Amino acid sequence: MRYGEGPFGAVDYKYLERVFCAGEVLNAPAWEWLQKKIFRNQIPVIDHMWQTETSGPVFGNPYGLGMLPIKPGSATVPMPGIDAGVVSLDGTPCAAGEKGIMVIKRPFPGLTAALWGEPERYGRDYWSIIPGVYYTGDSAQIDDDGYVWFAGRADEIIKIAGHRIGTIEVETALLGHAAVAESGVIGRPDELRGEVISAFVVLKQGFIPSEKLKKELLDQVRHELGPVAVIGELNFVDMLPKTRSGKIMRRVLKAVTQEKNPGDITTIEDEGSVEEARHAWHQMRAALDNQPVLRPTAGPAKNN
Amino acid sequence: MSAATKISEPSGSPGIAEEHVGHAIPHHLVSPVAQKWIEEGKQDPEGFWGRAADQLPWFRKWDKVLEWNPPTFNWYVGGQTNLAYNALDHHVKRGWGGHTALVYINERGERRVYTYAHLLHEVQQVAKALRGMGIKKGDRLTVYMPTSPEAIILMLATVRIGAIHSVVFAGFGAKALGDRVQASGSRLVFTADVTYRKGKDTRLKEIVDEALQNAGDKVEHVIVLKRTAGEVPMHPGRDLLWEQFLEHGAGESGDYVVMEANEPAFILATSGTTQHGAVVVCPEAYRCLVVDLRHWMDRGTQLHRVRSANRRRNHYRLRRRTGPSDPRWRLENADGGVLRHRNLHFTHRGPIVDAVWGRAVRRR
Repeated sequence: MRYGEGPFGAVDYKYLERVFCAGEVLNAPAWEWLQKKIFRNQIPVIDHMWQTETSGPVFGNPYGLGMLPIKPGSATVPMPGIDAGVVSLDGTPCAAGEKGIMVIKRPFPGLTAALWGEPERYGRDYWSIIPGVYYTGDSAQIDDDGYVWFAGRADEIIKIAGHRIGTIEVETALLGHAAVAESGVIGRPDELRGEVISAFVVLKQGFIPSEKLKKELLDQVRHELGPVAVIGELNFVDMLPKTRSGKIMRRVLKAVTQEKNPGDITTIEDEGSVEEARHAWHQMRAALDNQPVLRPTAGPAKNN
Repeated sequence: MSAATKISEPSGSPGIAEEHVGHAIPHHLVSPVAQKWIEEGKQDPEGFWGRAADQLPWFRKWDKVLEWNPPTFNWYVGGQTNLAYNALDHHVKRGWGGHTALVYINERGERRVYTYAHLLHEVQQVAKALRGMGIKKGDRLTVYMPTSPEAIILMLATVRIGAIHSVVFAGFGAKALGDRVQASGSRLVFTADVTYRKGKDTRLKEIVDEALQNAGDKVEHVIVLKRTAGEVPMHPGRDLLWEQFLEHGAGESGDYVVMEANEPAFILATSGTTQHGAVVVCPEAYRCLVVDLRHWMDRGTQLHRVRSANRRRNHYRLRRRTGPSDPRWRLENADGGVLRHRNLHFTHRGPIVDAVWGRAVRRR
C-alpha cells in the first residue's frame, strides 16, 4: 500500500486465479486495496489463518470446495473437520459478535500432538490454559453467519478502563484513513486507565506527517472504535519492525514505548529483519525524543 | 454491538463482496458443496477424517482413526505409510514419472525443472548418502539452506529413511540457529555458502560456524552446498561439500522405510514471534492429511475445471522461504501437483525479478 499501484499497472493477471494472504490478518482496507486496486476485482483475494502447530490452514475460505462470499477482514470460516469456537477465559462459549479466545475443541490430523523434548509442556501450553480445549492464543469473535474475525494475539489485547481492544482492530481503524500505509499498535501502561494505545503509523508516499493529520487519525480511531479507544501517543515512522513473513513485531514496539532495548530479538528473528527492526527502533526512539508526545484531545489522560 | 463488531463491518466493499456487505449472507451465496463438507465434518469428525485419509496411498490401513488420551492423541493408529513414497514413488508407479514435479526459479534467473522420475532419482541418491553417513531412522539433522531443489530433495530423502529433519529458515541469526540445532540434537547440519536476498549474497556458512561454537557438541558433520565460486571456510574433518557427501552413498540403499502413522516425520520450531519458541513434532500421517486441508482451500473449483479443461494438474506456487509450511508435501496430492518454486523477494525490484514476476502472472 505504501508504494501505491504504480509498479503493478501494466501487469496482466490473466493466468492468476486466486490470491491467498497470510502472516497478519488481512485488514479490510488492505484487502480492498489488493482486491480493487491491484487485482482490479478480476480474481478473489482471500485471507486465511493457521499456526505452525496446526500444520495447515484451519480457518479460511474453502475455495477448493466452493468459494464462500468474502467478508473483508474476516478469515472466513473454520475449515471442514475443524471444530472451533470462541470462549471466554473460563471456557464459557461466547455469543455471536462477542470477543473471546479462539479454541479448537477436538484434535484433527495436522494438529501437533507433542513438543520435541518437552512432553509435559505440550499439555500445559495448549490444553490447560482453558481446560480441555486447544488454546490458539488468538482473540477473536464469530459473527451471525459463522464468520471468524481475529482481533489480535490474546496476550497483546489492550485493556483500557476495563474494555478489551485487539491490536488488529485499532490497526484496521488507522488503515481506514487514506494516508495510512501500515500501522502497528500496542498497549502501554497508564495509571488512570490501566493501558492506553501507543500507535506507530507509516504513511503512504506523498503524505507528510503533521499535527493536522495526527488529529485526523485520532478522530478516525475514535469514530471507528468509540471513545474507549484512547490513544496515548501516535508516532509517524518510516517502517515497522516485522518478521520476514510480514508479522509485525509488536514486542519491539513495546520495548520502544517502555524505553527498553528490544534485546533478544536477534535470538528469535532473522538477521535481515533484526537490522530493519533495530533501524526502525532507533528511528522511532529519535522521533519520540524530537517531538512532543501527543496527548489525547479528549479526556483527562494521565501519562507516565 | 460492541465497538469491535462495528469495525468488522466493511465499508462500501466492491465487486465480489458487494452482495452481502453488512447483513447476513443470503443462503444462495453459500456453496452447497462447501456446506455439505462442513456439515459432515461436524456430524462425524472421525468418519470424516477417515474418508479423507482413504484417498491417500497406505502400505497398511489404520486400526483406529483416532485414539484420544488427553492432552495428546494419535491418528490412524497402526496405519503404515511414508511421506516421501506418497510424494514421489506413488506418482511414478501410476505412470506419471515423466510429468513435471518441480519448477525452480530464483532471483538470478536460474531455472530448473524436475520430473517426478528425476526427482525420485535425486532423492534416492541423497537417501543413500545419508545412510552412508550413518544416519538411521529417528536421527535428526538440521537444514539451514536457501530455498532450492537440493533443500527439497534433502527433506524428502530424510523422511524417506525415517530420519527427522529440523528446517531452520536461512535468515535466522547464529543464536537462533544454535538454539534450534541444540534442541533437535542434530547429527548433521546442511547449509550453503550463500543465499540470495534482494539482489545480494548473504553468507550462510559463517553463521553456521558461529552457531556451532556453542551448540555444536552433537554435530558430527556440516555439509555445504556451494553455489558460487567464492571461498568458503571449511573445518577439516567436520565439513564436507555437497558432492563429497553424495559420494558416501556408494553401495547404500536408497529405498524408503515403512513408518507408523504417528512416528515423527519431522520437527519444526515455532516462528519466534512469541517469546518462548516451541519445537513441534509433525507425525508421518498428519502431514499427509494437511494436504487435504490445503486442497480444500486451494483446489481449482468446478468452475475453474471447466475453464481450464485441458489443464490437468494444479500448480502450486511456493513462498520464497523454506520454512514451516513448506508446501512441498503437496507433491503427494492425489492429483500430483506441480510445485513452482520461486526464491524471490518481490520488494526487491530488479530486471530479473521483474521478468519472473511478469512470468508468474502471465504463465503457468
